[in-house]
Amino acid sequence: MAVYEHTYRRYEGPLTSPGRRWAVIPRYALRSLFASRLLLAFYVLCLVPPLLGALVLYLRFYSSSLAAFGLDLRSFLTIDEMFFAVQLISQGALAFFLTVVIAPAMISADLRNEALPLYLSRPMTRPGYLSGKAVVLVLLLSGITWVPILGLWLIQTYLEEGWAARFAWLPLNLLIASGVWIAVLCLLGLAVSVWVKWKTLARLGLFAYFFVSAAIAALVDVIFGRISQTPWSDSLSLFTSVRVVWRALLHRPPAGGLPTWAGALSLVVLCALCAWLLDRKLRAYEVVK
Amino acid sequence: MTTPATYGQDIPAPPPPPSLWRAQLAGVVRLEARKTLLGSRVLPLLLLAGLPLGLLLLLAIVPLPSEIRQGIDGVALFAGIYRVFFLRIAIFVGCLVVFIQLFRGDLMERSLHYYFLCPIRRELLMAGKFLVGLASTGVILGISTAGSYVLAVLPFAAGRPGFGDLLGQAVAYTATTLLGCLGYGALFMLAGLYVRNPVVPAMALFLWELLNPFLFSLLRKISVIYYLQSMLPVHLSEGPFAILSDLVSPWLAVPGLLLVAGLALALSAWRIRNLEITYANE
Repeated sequence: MAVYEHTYRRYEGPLTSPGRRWAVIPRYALRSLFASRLLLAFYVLCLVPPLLGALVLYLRFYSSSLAAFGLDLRSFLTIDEMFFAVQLISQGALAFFLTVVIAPAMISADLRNEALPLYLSRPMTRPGYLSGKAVVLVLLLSGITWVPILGLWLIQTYLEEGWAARFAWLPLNLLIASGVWIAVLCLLGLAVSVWVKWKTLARLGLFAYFFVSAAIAALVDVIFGRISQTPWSDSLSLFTSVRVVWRALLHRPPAGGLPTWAGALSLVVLCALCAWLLDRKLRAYEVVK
Repeated sequence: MTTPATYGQDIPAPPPPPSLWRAQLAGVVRLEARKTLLGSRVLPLLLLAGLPLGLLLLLAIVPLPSEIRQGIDGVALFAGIYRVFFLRIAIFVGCLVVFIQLFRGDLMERSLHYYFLCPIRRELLMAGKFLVGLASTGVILGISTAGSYVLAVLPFAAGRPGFGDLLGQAVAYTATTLLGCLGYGALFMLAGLYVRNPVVPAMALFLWELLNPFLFSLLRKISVIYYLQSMLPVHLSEGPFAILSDLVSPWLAVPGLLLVAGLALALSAWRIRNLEITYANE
């Protein structure tokens, strides 16, 4: 074909349906993320605590065999909501570290390289783009939080007859507890990724937020603690707010004096703030002064 | 008609090295000060430094019941503030934000080679950048420390010592902040020069410093916070799970911190002397 015939022609191939266009982003993002062997190794490492938990469940069930060796796990290890709370805490901490590693790079690279107009000039909306990015995080975080923890619940249900009837409420609450944490991490990670274009600084910021928020809560408590009996300042701490909500969901007695509703409200406000920050910054154009 | 200038006659000879170095150092400091203090890098530091000042000002002006106001011991209040906020977070995060970016920021912005193309010793460049980082963190956090102390102690009468003691405590807290900036600053600049991704060492150092009260006596000494705590005029309990350990004398803590900072700066100087820029790897 002659060169002058290479003119613009409309694409006539098959079109992806509008409802599935966001799926293009996670497909490529997951592929590029798992191209890193280090990340893959860390992800596998994140599954070690649930595997240890499964081993404990198995050994406890067969403790009659171990009794011959003087080791009876049933006598000092009860499988109740506390066992799953420990799993939730360990997996929640690992989910936080995983978010620190992967979330800051998700949107900042597109913004830094001015690729956002290229995405949004295609038949893809801003919510679609954001959903695609969020789905990557949700999938990865689900894989190390509620999926293995519910797997442990199923294993215990299979091993001990009658146990599931006593703890039938647990799966839904574990799912909600993990879901709350995943939602907070996703929105926080994406908001930081949008506002801090330098990946390294964004990671540091995300990591620091967790501890700085706790330090600010402690500072406010030191200064204004004697004014009120209820430590309202704890609602400024992400760590304390999540802990309060998780304890309520797992039917554990409340620790500290912060009411559950205050912890939940603090998380809702944080998520709303992150959503607002995302909406404000994520535009197909940028005014450079 | 003008005659061309000849070297040695019309053009003055270059000044001797010490004055040249001083002039170059001043140039680097001026340039870096503009970048650090007028840019967005300093915002987190200002927020951290301003937070206790704002909250204490609020406490001073808010109308409280007289029994609560009279029961506030300003010295103990500031000791608590310094321990939970300045020592654990403000100094660490403030230094992290400023010092990590001294070289890593230029590498990310792909502008470090402009410095390297100038006829200036790299050690001098490093010294200039470090001085600006130290001055900005030291001045901002130092003012915040001294101001917070004044706002915490002066409005509340309970347990207030004499003027001499107050001044001594204010100076001790401010000096601790400055030494903290020196120690952490040197370490973070070193990390910024050696490690491409400084998040991991920063996280590790933060967790190490956070866990310091719960470490064994020997391990506690391998940290910056241990020496900073030794210099505090008021010591508070570290909590029920903290391991009791003797604090080192300030006469040893100060030289110890200076030695660590000097070692880190020497390593940074050696590194920058041999640094090759490959922006593609960043």
